[in-house]
Amino acid sequence: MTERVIVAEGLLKRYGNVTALRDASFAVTRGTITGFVGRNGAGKTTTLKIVSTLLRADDGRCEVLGHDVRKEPYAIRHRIGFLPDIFELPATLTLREYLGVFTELYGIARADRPRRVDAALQLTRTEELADRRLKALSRGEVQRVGLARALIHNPDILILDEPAAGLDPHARVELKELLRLLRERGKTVFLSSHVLADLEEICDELVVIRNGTVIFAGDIAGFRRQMRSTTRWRLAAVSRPIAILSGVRGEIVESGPTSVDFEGELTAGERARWIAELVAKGVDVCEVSPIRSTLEQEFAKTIEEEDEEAAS
Amino acid sequence: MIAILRYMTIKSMRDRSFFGFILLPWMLPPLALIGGSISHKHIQFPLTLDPNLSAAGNATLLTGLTGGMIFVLASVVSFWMLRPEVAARSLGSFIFAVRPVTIIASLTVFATLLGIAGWIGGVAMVTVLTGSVAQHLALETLRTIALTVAMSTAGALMVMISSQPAMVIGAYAFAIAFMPMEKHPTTQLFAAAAVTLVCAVIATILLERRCAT
Repeated sequence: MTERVIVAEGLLKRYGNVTALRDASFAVTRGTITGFVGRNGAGKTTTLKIVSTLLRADDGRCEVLGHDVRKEPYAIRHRIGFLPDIFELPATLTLREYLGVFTELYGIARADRPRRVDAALQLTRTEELADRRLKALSRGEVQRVGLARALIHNPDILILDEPAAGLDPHARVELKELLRLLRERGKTVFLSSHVLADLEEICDELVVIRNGTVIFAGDIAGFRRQMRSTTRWRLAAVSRPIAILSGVRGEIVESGPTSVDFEGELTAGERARWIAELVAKGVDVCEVSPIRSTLEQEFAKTIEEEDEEAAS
Repeated sequence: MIAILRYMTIKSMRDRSFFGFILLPWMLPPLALIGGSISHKHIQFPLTLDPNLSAAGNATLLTGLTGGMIFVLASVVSFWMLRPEVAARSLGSFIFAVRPVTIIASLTVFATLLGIAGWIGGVAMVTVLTGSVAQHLALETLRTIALTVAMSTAGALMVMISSQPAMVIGAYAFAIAFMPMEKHPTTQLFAAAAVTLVCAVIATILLERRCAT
């Protein structure tokens, strides 16, 4: 049975006259990587801060690991690792000293501290930074140090606010590898990001927020269903033009001399019939493949809807 | 608390402010005595700030000045130590590990310990250079420690209100408030206790709020 480690119900947060969150509800399952997606100002950071007990919601309920964030924040804080979107490091300390301070703050036994520091350094691939002072680090290095600090006490849940912001492609690949590794070790990761291609690659579940309201919470396939996304098919031949099979529901969205991009529902039977018919006509079919819309394209649809709503 | 004290010690030792905060009260008595002796053209040991006062009187006057410097400096220490973390919104990482009250208490203890170190060195300097021990030294020590604790919490409160460097001036207002009570040590001690309590509570609440922004 899947255990929900973060449960938010009807969260409301106002900043003066501005409503940052309204009736936001979602859940995060244990051992998953859950992406949190929304435009700038949609309420992602506010939600992450409420979940991580730093900010109080004006209304609604939020439980993390079975503890109410409002009533038992201290029971939660030791069991989560939080990486904020903006933070700085003390320039005069070395990374080893910095992590050492946190092992002590978290009450880790003295004998266990060096091992914990080494494990965090190894996990975040920051060993080469260990004895360097925390100044003049690149953005990627700062993010890795932040992750090492968030992981130092072996938390059950990792909450990351824009961890990929400012990272170069190589650092992003490393981050994805690290998050996958953490999932393998049974950790739950809840992260916000604007790099939807990365989220699509690593996330099991998705929470989509629009104007402070969660419009979707579930797996990525479910999001596609909700967005009523249709699959695009590409049919290509080596040399001869492709004829369209009569009776197939859908439309041609792109047509080349020897290929057709077709959007619609194409059942396995229809595909087989189409290929057989083309082959019978002497067409040398070389490709019949689905082209799925990316998460980015699906998300763009929600933005379009939002803009249309605003315009109307 | 020990971990935060260690963190602040490493930080301040690396940027040398640790030594500055301790040595400044040590340097006040010799500098004041040398200046006083030169202005009165009375340069001979034991040194005097006011030649009309006895050696004990000079020691008492200088001890009072050193105490004043220490408790004002304590507010600067507590304001300064975690100011970059407050300004850079990095304090949140600490409150996942310890309660906000522990952070405020650590700031207060750190500033007070530096103040005590400064006091010990300053009083030793006064005693050596004036050739006399200040009158009512025990009471003066108690008063300095109480006011140092109070001013430390005031510095912590100011940095939680705003990390702008000029905000430290706000803490000096508390020092000015203590001055009229100079002749009433008991009142001053009670006032220091009240300021400590109020500032610590408000600073703790503000710290929690700062982490939310």
